[in-house]
Amino acid sequence: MPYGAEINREQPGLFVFLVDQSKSMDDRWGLDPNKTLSQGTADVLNRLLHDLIIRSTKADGVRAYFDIAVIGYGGDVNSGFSTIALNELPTSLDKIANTRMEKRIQKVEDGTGGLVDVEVNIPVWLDPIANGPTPMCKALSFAGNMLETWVPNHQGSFPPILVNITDGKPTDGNPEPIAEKIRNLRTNDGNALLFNIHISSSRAAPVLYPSTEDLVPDEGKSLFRMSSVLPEIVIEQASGQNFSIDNSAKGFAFNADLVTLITFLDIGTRGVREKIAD
Amino acid sequence: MNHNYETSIFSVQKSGNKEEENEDAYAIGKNGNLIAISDGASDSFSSRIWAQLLSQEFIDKPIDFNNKEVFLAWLESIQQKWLEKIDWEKLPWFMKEKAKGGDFASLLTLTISEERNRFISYAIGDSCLFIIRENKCLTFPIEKSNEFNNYPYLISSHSKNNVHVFGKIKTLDCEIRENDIIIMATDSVAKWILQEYEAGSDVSIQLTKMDSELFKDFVKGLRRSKELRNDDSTIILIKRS
Repeated sequence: MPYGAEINREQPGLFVFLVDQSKSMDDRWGLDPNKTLSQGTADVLNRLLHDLIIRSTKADGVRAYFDIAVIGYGGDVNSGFSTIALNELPTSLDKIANTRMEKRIQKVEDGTGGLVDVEVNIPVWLDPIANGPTPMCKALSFAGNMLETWVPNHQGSFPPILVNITDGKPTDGNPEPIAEKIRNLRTNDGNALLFNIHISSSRAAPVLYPSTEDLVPDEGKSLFRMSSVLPEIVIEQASGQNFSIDNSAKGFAFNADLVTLITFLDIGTRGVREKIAD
Repeated sequence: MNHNYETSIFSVQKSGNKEEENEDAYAIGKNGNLIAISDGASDSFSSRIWAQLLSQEFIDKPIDFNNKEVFLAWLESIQQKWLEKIDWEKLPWFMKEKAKGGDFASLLTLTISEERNRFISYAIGDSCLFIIRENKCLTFPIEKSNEFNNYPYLISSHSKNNVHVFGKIKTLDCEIRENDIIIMATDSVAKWILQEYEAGSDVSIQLTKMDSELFKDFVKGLRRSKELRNDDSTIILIKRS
C-alpha cells in the first residue's frame, strides 16, 4: 500500500514549497483586498511552518520529523528562508525553529460579545516578496535536482510532497517535462507528489481538485497537467472536510482565493502530518 | 492471611525512539497491592513526566476516585507539580506554546484489598486491565478490540481540559481469587491481547513466561508482522505470591 510510511526521525518526510515571487504577486486578493498575494502566501506558509514545528516539539526540542525547503522564484531562484542558503536546502525542521518573531494584532472575543485587539508574537520565516519575471522552470529544476539527492537516501520515507504556489505562467519555458521528471522520482512508499495551486486576484470562483482538463480554463491547463493525481490519503482528508472529489482528481486548484489556499495546503499536508510516530 | 503480590513489568519504547523517550509510566506500592500505569499521549509536550506524576501520585496518595471533590483536588495537586517542573522563562517560543497546550495521559489503577478479598480499578483512557481466570479473560474498561481509537479521553495537565474528566472515570470492583493473573497494559498491547482472546487464543501462558529480553523480541516481532502498532508498549503482570 503506497503512501503508508510512518514519519519518524529515521525516515523523515520532505515538504518542498515553491513560491512565486514575481512582480505580479504585488496584486491584491480579489476577496481580501487588504493583502497582496505575496503577503497572503507568506502568512499562510508561515502559519504552516509554525504548525509543523509545534507538532514536532517535545520537551527535549524540535524533533526532525521533516526535511523542508522553501524555494522562491521571482527574478531569480532564491531560498525562502533568510537564514538558510539555497544550496543548503532542504533543511531539517529543527534547524529553522528559532526564527524572527513579529508583533501582529489579532482580534479576539472580549467575553462580553465584542472584539478586542490583542498584540501577539508570531514566528516569521517568509517575507512577502514580489519582484521581476517568473522563472518557474528554473525553480522546478532546482527542486528536481534536490530530490534526486534526497530520494536515494530516504527510500523508506513517505514520498516528498511539493506544492507550487503561483499566480501566473512561467517566463522561462515549459515546466511540464520537469514536473514529469519530479513525479517519476520515488521512494519505496510511492512517487513524489507535485501539487500546484494557482492563486489569483480575480473574484471568480476557484476550481478545486479537477479530474479532467476541460474543467480548467486555458490559463491553468499546463499546471493541471503538471499536477499529481491525489493519493487516497489526501482524498480521505478532503472527504473529511466535505469535499466531494473523485478518484482521478488532481492536486490542483485554479483561481484560488486566500481561504482556498489555506484549505488546499491543509488538505495536501494533513494526512502526512498524521503519519508522525512520536 | 496477608499475601504479597508479585509483579513483573515489561516496557518497550516505540521503534525509532530512545529508551528515555518511552512515555508509558508506572508505579507500584511496596506490597504490590497498589499499582498504577499511565500512557502519555505522544503528541503532547512532556507526557512522559505527566504520566510519571500521575502514576506515582496514586501510589503516594491513593484516593477514592468516586468522590468528585477529593478526586479533583488530588488532580489539581498533580497539575501544580507539573507546572513547577517547567522553567517557563527559559523556554523558546515553540516549547512555550507546546507546553501551554498541556500534557495528556491515560491512568489505570489497581488497589487490592486483602480484607475484602476484592480489588478496585479506576480507568480513564485506554490502558486496560485483564483478569485471567480459568482460561477466561475479563477485560476493563475496553471490552472489544474494535473499541480502541486514536482519540481516547485522557487526563490533562491543564484544568481547562479536564472539565469532563470526572464523568469519564470507569470503576471496576471485583472479587479476587487464588489463581487469578491480572495484566495491566497500555493500549497497543491491550488491543493485541483482546484480539487474541477474540480469536480464541489464550495469551496468558505466553505472557507469564516473559522476561525483559523476551518481551523486547515479542514486541519487535509483532510490530514487524503489523499485529502491533508502533507505540510504547507496557505490560504489568500481577500474581499472588
